[in-house]
Amino acid sequence: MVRKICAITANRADFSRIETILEAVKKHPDLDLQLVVLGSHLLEKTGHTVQEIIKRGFIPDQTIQMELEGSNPVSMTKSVGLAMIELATALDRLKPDVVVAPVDRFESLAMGIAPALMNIHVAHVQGGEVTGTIDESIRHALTKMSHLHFVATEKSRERVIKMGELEETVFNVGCPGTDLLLKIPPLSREKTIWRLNDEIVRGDKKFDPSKPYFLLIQHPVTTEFGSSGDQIKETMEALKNIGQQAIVLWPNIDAGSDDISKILRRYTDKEIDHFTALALKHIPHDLFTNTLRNASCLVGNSSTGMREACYFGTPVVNIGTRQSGRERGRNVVDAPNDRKQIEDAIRFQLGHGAYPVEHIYGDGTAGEKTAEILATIKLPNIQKKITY
Amino acid sequence: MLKELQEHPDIDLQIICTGALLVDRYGEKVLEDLEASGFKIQEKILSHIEGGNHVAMAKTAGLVALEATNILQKLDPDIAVVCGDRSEVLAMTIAATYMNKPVAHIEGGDLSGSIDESVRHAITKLAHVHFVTNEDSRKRVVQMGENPKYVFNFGSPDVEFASLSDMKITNEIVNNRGVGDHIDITKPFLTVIQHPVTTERDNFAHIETTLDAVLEAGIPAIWFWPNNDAGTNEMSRKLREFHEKNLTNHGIRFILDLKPDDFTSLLKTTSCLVGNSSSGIKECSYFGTPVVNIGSRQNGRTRGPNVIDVSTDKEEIKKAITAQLSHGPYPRSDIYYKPDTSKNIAATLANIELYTQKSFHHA
Repeated sequence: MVRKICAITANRADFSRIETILEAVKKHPDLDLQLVVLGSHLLEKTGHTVQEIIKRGFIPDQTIQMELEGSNPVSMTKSVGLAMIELATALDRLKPDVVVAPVDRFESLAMGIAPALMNIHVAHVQGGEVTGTIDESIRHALTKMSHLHFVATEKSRERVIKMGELEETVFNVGCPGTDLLLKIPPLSREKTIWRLNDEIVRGDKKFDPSKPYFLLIQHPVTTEFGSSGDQIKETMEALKNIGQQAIVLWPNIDAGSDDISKILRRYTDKEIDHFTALALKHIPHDLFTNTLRNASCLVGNSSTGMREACYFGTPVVNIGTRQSGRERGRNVVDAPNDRKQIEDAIRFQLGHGAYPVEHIYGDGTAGEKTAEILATIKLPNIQKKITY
Repeated sequence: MLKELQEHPDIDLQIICTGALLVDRYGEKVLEDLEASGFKIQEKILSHIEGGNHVAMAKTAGLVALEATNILQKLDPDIAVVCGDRSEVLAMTIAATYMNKPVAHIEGGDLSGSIDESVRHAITKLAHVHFVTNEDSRKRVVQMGENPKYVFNFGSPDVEFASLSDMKITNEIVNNRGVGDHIDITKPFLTVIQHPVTTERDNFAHIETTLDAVLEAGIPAIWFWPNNDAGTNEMSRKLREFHEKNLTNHGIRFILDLKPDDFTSLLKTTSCLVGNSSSGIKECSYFGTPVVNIGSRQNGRTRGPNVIDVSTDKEEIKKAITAQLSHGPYPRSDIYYKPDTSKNIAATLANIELYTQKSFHHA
């Protein structure tokens, strides 16, 4: 019998963690792919990335508009309530055998709870990792609602088992994000910037292809709500002091996001004291990967710095608590939310240059491995039981 | 515990009620009793979606999360206290933690069957302070990566309540409620509480078996209607059909609920509790009331010597009931009991240093 696998995705970042799983599921003769797209994918301000999903050949079986305006803890909480309600209806219609719920976004918890309450098996992608922000709690709560666990590192596997999950349900397949990364043909720095200027940059101000650049991705830390504006200001002041041009990505929509955007608008899309920073909405994945590959330094608090940068040896300055505890390569230097210390760390990284490549999050076959397991595994008892 | 919290000089108590407590069918009396005892209920969240199936249960959880958000924003508490393992409680916990309110969870680390098993541990991984009710559970919560500094075993507030209650249940209280036969509780009688197991499909068959076993055991029974979990419709239908066909002379009285201390007293008085309620494991361990625990719902929960576990097989249930009736009361067990449970919880809530950012504790 063909197994129905329903993947749910809420934003660009979590989609990149399951895309190669979707590809492999779609190709697998014993699996039927269903796709539910919700969250930021359906919003203009985050690039309406559902279109990119469709362009890549995945047609959503259901889209769910559920994101409340506000970017604060209240809107975030209500959004997850709405997601749960809507997912109950969608899953009742789609009747999948397994739901694939990625990572640790606030929407992710609804992706685990709705099916679990409906006696549908939940496969969680990338449990067991350790970070800051509310993601830390969400990730582990989702582990405890899930029946199958596709983790990306050995330490994560150990942690998931320690939390009382059956060893035979935990698979270290690596990170599907790595699969994508290793497939993308490299571009030179100049070509990368030309493409950015051509395809992404909207205004008159463009990047200079002959010069190195920073890549800045800084998201709010929801458990430090209220400080996000001050935190990004420290970072921007450090970047301005060094003066290298900066490619800035708008933050995700977690609580605190509007505060970051407000400060970013002051620094970007103009030249201040010979410092040029342009804020971009969404860079398609292949171009983004090359942007990361060619950056002189990735600055901020994105998990990209922990998971992907090590495959290119790109130096990273990781700011604040958002990634605290996550496994990382030698290419990462930590700095607190302080302009002087951020500046020192960046200068250190610029002096050091590229690091040797490290493979921490898998070997690029996570998608295929996951699909094969989904197709062949005898699904565990729907009744979960802690192992101790 | 609410009483201790209300009386503590350094604590301001706010109460939010939701779920079955607000639906006449399930909890009207409890709420009335709570208000009659002098507790002010700040907010009531009517959130129970009808249907009695899995879709309704998932949607109810979503609705609770939505409503709880508004209320928590308005009440702006320093800490949210949640108890147990119901999906509504998980929704409340999500709302609080997403809004950076620390959460104190009572009864984490226990084991059971049904979806409760997953829900309980998910709440643990979201909560900041843990009031477990027994030593096994304390170890489990710590092993799941919680900081031992924030895990307290003060015993079970339910069992403490049971130990303090001096109410005497009477024939009048019991027989003024519900439908079916008049039961004389001065003579031997069974109490039956059997809830749905959401992760299983045959709830109808299971309650039918229990009903047959109880009828064949030939001793009067007070039977509580099942709770509102998915599967409740089939179970209620079976009981309703039976009642409509027979009306009386079958030796069973069906009731919705009792006030908490009447309920406690009933557990103390009954000859044997039959079904799958956690009160059989917890309160009854303290009273030494014999229990026949049916099926998987309480799988793994730490239990005293008063419990005989049986499958959903009629003969097995009947045999166990007969064995328990001839055994009679057991000695008191203190696995869930510690003195001053509520005082200790209140004192901890008043004094503990609160935090919002969790981190995995590697023991």
